[in-house]
Order: sequence, then structure tokens, then C-alpha cells
Amino acid sequence: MNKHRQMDEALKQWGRNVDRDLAHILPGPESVRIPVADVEPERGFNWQPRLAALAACVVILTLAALVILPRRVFTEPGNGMAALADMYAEVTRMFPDQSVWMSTGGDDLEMGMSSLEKTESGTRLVLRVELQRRSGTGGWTDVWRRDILTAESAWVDTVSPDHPEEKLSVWAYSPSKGVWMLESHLELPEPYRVNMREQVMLYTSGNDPALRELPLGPGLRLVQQVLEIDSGRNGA
Amino acid sequence: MTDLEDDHQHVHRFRENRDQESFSELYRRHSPCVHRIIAKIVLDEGVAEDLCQETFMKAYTKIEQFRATASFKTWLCRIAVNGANEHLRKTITARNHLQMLQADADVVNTADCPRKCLFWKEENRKVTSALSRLDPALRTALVLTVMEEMDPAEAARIQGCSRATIYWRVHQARKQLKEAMGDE
Repeated sequence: MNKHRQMDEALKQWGRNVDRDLAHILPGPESVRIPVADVEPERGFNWQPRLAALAACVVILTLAALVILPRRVFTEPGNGMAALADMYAEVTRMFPDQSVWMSTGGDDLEMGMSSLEKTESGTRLVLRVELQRRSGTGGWTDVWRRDILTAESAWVDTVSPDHPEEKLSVWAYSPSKGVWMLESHLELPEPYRVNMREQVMLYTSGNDPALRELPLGPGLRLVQQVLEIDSGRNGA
Repeated sequence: MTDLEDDHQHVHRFRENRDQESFSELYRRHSPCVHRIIAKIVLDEGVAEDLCQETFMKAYTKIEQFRATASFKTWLCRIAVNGANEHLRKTITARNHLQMLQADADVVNTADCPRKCLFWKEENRKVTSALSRLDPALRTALVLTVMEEMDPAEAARIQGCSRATIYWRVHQARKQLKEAMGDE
């Protein structure tokens, strides 16, 4: 997040430099040099761009039906995300302009915070990324997990000071209700050796979080979940 | 009366009576902002001045198409942004654009020609170079939301896309800028 702030500040400073120089160069906007002659307003209606837009919509919807929708996965209820959202709703009240992440692995618990920016919308959400290994009994056990309280469209980098080789960066946006676009970059060292960068769509069902389970190899899988914090229930 | 209502009054008077003073007032109010935005998109002050005039010419001739559902400034900025992007598309490819701008900066003495070279002054060079490598749509999203600090919903109306697309463009622009500035 700090890197965005630094970059945005550089851009704003650049903008201020340019504005300052433009103000020196240009005369004040005293008048408009427009020929006042018999200019009639145009009222034409052009169908061509509208037809092109319609064709593009049809193509996109067809692609969505063929490529994206088959990946949709629904979650089982009661997996702890609602409780996490409740807890984070409290954190949101305490730190309204911060994103917060927590990481667990083995006996370790780590936390980090960073500031949110202006271009990021107010919608708060909880992201959970888990690496799971199949246990001897056939179930799945967490070997690494990171929970992130963030805002929609905020890019969050989570790097732990104690384990800098474990990196997770995420960005989520909801283009429409129940659909989440998630971009992430995950790096985990030995023994898992994960280095994955991807953009995916996740879909929610009712009040359950959006969920995706991705096999990473024999007996290993990645689980990603997104849950919008419900202001009515959680008071966030 | 708010600025918005005041703008709408001037538009109304110009439409009804062809009141030139009303249009001049709209020009005085909005031309600095329009000029700033165009200049940061095309990265050339000389071109920006021409495009700014063209923007007001179009506004003048197409004023009947303005609907009061949006602010006059948003409508004007949309014309300006479309004009700037159209100029970039027509004249040069993005790669040639960068080469041309850099050639300008190398050839012309900044003291002699401040219009051409203000973007390439030492203090601006790094950011200008990185911005010039961005796709115009990404650069425009960044100019509107980060530099002009517009609400993303307004930027979306100006660029004629959804708010999601604006977020996506800003996100992509930051990523590409980071890479470009890292390369410097």
C-alpha cells in the first residue's frame, strides 16, 4: 500500500509541476476563439458504434458462458468466514482507513496493517487464502493461511517481517453482485514451493463467501475465499 | 446557487438565445481544467492548446446534445478526453509517440521552448517517460482519478466505461508505472 502512496505522490507532484509551468506559459482564459457564424447544433444519431458495442457484448457473454461459468464453485456454509467477518467488522470500526492481515502457519500468528487509498471504494471484505494438505484420514488440514481485511479494489501486499519469503499480494473487485474478480500473487518457499500469479472470477451463493479450490499437486490444494462484510449484520 | 446550477443556467441561456457571454463564461470556468487534463494525456502542451480549443468548438456545436443528467464539466471532459485519445490514435502509435516526445526533448532547449519541453524538464522527466509508455486509456484513468482526484464514478462517465473498468485501469496503470519507473 505504501508503494501506491509513494507512486501517487510522485504523480501528483509531477501534475503540480506541470500545472505550475502551464500557468506561467498560458494567458488567462479571457475569451473563447470560436467563430460565431451560423453553426447549427448537430442532431445526428449514429447506429454504427451502438451495433459494434452490442456485438462486443454478445461475444463477451458467450465467452463468459463457455469459459468462466464452468469454474463456478459454491461453498459449504459454516466454515468460519462469518465469524471472521464479525471480528474484522470490529477492527474496521477501530481502524477505518487500514487494511489488516493475519497469517497463521504452524504455531505462528502474525499481523500487519497498511493504509487504504482514495481510489479504493468503501466496500470492506475479508479474503482468506489457505494452503491445505490432505491428512491421513482423507480430510484437509491447513498448513498455511492468511486472512486479510481489506477494501474493494485495494491492492494489498502482505509480507511478514519474520518470514519475508512468504508473500501474498491480492486485489479484489466486484463488478456485479455475487461476482468477485480476484488477482493474486502467492509465493511460498520449501517445502511447498508455490509461485503463482493469476486472475480469476469467483462467485458467491446467497450469504456464503465466494470460494475456489485449486489443486496444486498430489495431496495439496489452495483455497481462496472472499466475503463482503455485511454492514447490516456486522455493523461494519 | 451552486456551480452546477450556474453552469446549467449558462447552458440554457446559450441554447435559447445564443448568448455568447454565457458560453464565454463557461469557457472561463472550465478551460483551465480541460487544458490540464488534455496536456497530461497527450504530454505535449502545444497539442493540448489546440485540442482544448477543439473541445470548446465541439461543445459549441453540439450543445444541444448536452443532457442535464450529468454536470457540464463531466460532459466537457468527456469530449476533451475523446479528442485527446483520438489524436493519439490517429497521429502516432504509442511507441512512436514516446520516441517523438523524447526526440523533442533532446533537440529543443527547454529554456527556449518551454511549451514543448516542460514535460521533459529534469524534475518531470522520469514520470513523463513512464507515463508516455502507458496505453492512453490507462494514462487517462490515472490522470482523472489520481492527479485530478476525481471520483471514480465521474471518471467512468468521462471515459465512457464502468466504474469497475476505471478501478481496473488504475490498478493496471500503477503496476505498469511501477515497472517502467523501476527500469529508469
